[in-house]
Amino acid sequence: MSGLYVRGVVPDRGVELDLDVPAGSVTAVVGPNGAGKTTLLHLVAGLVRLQSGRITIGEREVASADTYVPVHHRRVALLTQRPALFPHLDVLANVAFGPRAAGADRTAANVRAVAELYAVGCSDLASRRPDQLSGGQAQRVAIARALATDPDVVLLDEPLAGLDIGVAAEVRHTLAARLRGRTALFVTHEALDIWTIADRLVVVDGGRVVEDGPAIDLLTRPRTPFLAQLCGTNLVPGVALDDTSLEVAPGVVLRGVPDDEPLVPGGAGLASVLPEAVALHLSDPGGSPRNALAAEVTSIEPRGQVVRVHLDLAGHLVAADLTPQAVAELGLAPGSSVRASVKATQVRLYRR
Amino acid sequence: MIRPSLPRWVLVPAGAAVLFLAVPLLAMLVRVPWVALPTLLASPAAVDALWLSLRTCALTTVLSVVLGLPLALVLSRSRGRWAVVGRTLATVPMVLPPVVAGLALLVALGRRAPLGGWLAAHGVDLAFTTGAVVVAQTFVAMPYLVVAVEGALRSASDEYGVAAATLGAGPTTVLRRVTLPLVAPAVASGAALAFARALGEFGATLTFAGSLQGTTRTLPLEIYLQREVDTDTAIALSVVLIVLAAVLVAGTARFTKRPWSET
Repeated sequence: MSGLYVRGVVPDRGVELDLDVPAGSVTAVVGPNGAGKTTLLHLVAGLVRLQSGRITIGEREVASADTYVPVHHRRVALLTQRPALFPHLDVLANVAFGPRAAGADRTAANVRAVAELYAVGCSDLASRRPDQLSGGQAQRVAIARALATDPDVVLLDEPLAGLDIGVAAEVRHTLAARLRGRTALFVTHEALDIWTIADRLVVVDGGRVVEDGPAIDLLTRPRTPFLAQLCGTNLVPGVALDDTSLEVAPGVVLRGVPDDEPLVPGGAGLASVLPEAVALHLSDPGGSPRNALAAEVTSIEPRGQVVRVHLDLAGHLVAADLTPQAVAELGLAPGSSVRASVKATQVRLYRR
Repeated sequence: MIRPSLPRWVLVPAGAAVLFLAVPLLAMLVRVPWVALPTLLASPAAVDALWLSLRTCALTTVLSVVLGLPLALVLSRSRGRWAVVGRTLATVPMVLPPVVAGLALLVALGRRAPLGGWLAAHGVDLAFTTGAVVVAQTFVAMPYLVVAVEGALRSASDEYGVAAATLGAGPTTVLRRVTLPLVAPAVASGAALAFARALGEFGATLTFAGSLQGTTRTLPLEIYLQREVDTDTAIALSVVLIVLAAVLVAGTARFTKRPWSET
């Protein structure tokens, strides 16, 4: 199993990416649209040339300012949103394509293809044509086809994005099983993908890697607005008074519970609060374990079962999820003054 | 879904168009000496012309594929000035009057031309040979294949080629196992078009290759020669061409659902 090292500079695309993926780890790549996630995958696959830097897979240098190993010699598999199964070949021949291209004879390639199809639960589809497959089946076959080449690195560019929610859940489960122990880069927009499949997480923004670490650490203690949004939580920065209180604005203090990396008095800290933990009142609700802070409604966004109320809380943007009934009873509208209350047990405090 | 219907008056000009196209062909079929047809077609001149046309058109089609397919592959990947030049070169013979094409070939490859003279000095004497017929036909017919295949290649998605490369397939394997199979219908229809165009070729062949029975006198040349001397034979041979053309067009339609909209 090979690790992956990337230092890819492509000024034309505003990209300067540094990344080290340990052998056998699945690294999720997240970031805003246009941040350079797909460019990162294309650099590794050989679909984009770097202008300076270096990419190595294990001991092999596959790209630098003066080397370029062509795509078909990189031993890198690429799965995208579109399965791109060859329409003129049946499923078995699609999966056997890689081994055949690598020089295996027909029998050996078919044996391998049968095994890979079994591993993704598609044994019964071997003789189908791609146009006879559902979206989920096609993506499973694409996974089998990619892994039949024994790639050193697997690149995944939102492979579940085009699937129905239920189907995506099944394919996600298959991917998690099939990627275990492989070196992989997995671009996604879904926190669930990261929890299920990845053990490391990289945040790309503006063509740079801005965060890089174990997925669990980054997801349980998000430190940037982007990660906070990915995890669906509010992030409020401030200065620690002690390990259970954070001053988020002059005279405005949030009380909470210390997390694994507790606040240091006088140091910068963060408070993480889920939107559903924020309640809104027109007057001070009372009760000691609660934080009750003045806030102003900036906008109201219906989201199916809940209504997301965006607040300006002492200069910070905070979201609260309420029932439609509650929003109507409170008579909320942009500009309304409210008291936002959160139980201290629902506020997690940690170092910045 | 019910589509908004066409106005009924469109049927009038459309019907006129059908008549316009059908009447000459029907008139020909009415005029055919059906009883004498086997005898007419069995005459030595007719058999020679028919056989020559089939042989040269088959060779032309093979040449068009062997040379035109690689050209289409290169053009489909080309951008910029040279691509425009190449594409223009590949399409000009389609719109050129065939007699001009024949003249151009004569000027380049005739015995007295520098290139033709050089070839003749090296034992390749094209003038007034069956080889000249194939050259003339290929010159006017190959562009049809190039245009059909290039159009199909351009509209084909890159994703299969990219997928094949990431699966470890080198350029030759991608071409052989992915690209060509995917455009095979367009190659087949382009080849059929080239064959049909070669079969009907008249002006360039007459100008460049002449009209020698059994050597350069193809079906259209024989028909032209016979049309006043022996109208029955001319009509009998024409029927053969009409049938061949109809078979080719129908066959092409089987390969691609809408071969005309692809180019």
